[in-house]
Amino acid sequence: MLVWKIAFRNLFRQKSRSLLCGSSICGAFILFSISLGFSDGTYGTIIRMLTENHSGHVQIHRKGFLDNPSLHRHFRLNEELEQSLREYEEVESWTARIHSAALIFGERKSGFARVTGLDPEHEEQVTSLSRKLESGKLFKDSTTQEILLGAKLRNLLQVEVGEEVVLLGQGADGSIANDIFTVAGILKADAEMRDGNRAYLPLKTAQKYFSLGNRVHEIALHLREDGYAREQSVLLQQQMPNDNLDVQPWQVVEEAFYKAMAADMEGNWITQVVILFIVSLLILITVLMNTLERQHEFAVLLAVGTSPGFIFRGIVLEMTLLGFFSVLVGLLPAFALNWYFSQNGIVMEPAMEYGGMIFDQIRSEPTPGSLIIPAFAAVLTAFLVSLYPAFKAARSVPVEIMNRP
Amino acid sequence: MTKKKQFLRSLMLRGFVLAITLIVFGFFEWRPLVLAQDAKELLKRLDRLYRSDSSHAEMEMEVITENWERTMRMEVWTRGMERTLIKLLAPRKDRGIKTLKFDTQMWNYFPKINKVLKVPPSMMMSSWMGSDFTNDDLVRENTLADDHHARVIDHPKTPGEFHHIELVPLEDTVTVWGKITITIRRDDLMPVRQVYFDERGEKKRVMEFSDVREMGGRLFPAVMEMKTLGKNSRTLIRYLSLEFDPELSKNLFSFSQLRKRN
Repeated sequence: MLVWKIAFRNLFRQKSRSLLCGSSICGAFILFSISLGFSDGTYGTIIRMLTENHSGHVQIHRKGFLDNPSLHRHFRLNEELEQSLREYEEVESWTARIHSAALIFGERKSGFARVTGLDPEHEEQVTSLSRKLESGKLFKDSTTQEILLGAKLRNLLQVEVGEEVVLLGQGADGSIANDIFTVAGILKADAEMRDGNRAYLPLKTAQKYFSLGNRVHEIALHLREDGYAREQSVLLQQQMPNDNLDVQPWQVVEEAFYKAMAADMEGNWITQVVILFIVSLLILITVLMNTLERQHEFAVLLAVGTSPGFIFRGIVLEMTLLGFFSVLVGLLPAFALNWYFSQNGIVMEPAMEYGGMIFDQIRSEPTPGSLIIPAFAAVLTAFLVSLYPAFKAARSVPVEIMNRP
Repeated sequence: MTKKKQFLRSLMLRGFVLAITLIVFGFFEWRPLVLAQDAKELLKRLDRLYRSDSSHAEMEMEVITENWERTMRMEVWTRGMERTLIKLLAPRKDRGIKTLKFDTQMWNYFPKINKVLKVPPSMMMSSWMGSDFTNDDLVRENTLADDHHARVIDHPKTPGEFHHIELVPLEDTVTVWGKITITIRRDDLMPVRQVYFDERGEKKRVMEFSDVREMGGRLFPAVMEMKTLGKNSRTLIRYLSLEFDPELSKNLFSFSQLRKRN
């Protein structure tokens, strides 16, 4: 108990010394917290952009479609399946899609298009389709003879809203699918992700065009709570009326993207550890100065019979307490800054591309992890860096120290 | 030596030279030459079986794959070996789609989009209308005799019942097939089977002929079934009607006719 009392007293005995040392720990804590906040915020934004703009949280396909997407790997969107999705409480909204490819001809140019058939009303609830519009409008309904083009395809074909394009592809019944569509709208470039050349047809029109009847290739689900896609996909799989259906979270659907992001996150942690190491060196220097200037004091204590262990424990406890109080002081500004940057992101000029998604702003995210991890790291660092100076002070010879000028 | 003897000696000498010539240049080649000639004749007969100077047919094509089944009805006009026009009559959504073959080139016309598209060389081995027949089949089917070394060999199982023709492409023939064999009945010379092998000698497609009947004044197999091995699909062609040497309009095989929506 005495050691606690002395450690506390030492903290307040020389306030400016403690303030200097504590502010370096506090500063390191705040910086580390903001750094983690931005890291969480950036990856969180990436995941939200992916799930809310493209994939949804969970997707349903016919088994084998994800490994080998084919026009013929479809499933019937019947009342039973719709009912099971409506009854599943965690599903906030869902949208059915079909995927294929076709040659596309404008008045002047032609090219290749990845065609997606979607229901505008349902898609709006899952991926906010209207937010992606650059010009024009969405389809009136699911049966209209209209098409939405991605910006890349518009640039390739040199067509504008209101003009006609021809699609030539293959129907699911082996026929040659061919028809004329009016360009209803153009989607922004960042809505296309990495593969580009996107064209969107109303779901029923696309089903008729590709001779698919009421069959679809994909149902994308938006869950009430994100972050539980894996767990929900397992539970939802059990609700499926058909064994042929495969329910997978976005991490599996966008496997390549997810793996790249996970590797990037690991790389980011290495960077964080390097930053933490540099910060701990700074704290070490401050603590070392703090103990070195008290060498005479420790020598007197040793000379009057204080045990080296007591001195060692006293210094370590003092620094650990200093670290703890510094973190307590830094918690509020760290949270406030993270919150501020979550509301007011830093504008990127020029915009950055990640996995086909374009960022023009990076934001922080005040998660518990962005406060708890740096707090532990700061206190632990204060504890670790105090070990060497404490050891040095405890092992010093009083006569030698006291004879120094 | 009397004139008679001289004449006889000269005759013997000529006969001897002729015999040697025949032996050296003819005898060893005689059998293959005759068989090659037979093969060409048989192939020409095959070509003439379905064609004349001109023809007009209505047929049904049924395509059965593991994923889908589809039946198309079509009208086909031909002039010689070089010109063919195919027009789809059913199903309704494909009605009016046309294919024009002119020598070794092909175009497709799609009335819904009012577009004529030339089938590029890279697409020649692609399926025609989702069937087991390729675009190349339509263009090349009747030039087998011109593009291949043909010889008659013994039928592996029943030589007394069938002719067996082996076709190997000429050096300058552009084709994916390493060999084609055709089996023909000896008694009425009706084709029974046509097998396509790749360059490694693996069997890739089999076409079988059946339902021999008289149509348009000729006896011929009214049903052809093409199976693509390893793909689990087959295509049946049934002749519904056939007329030989009808009066065909001069511009029937033209682009203006191809584009005509009728």
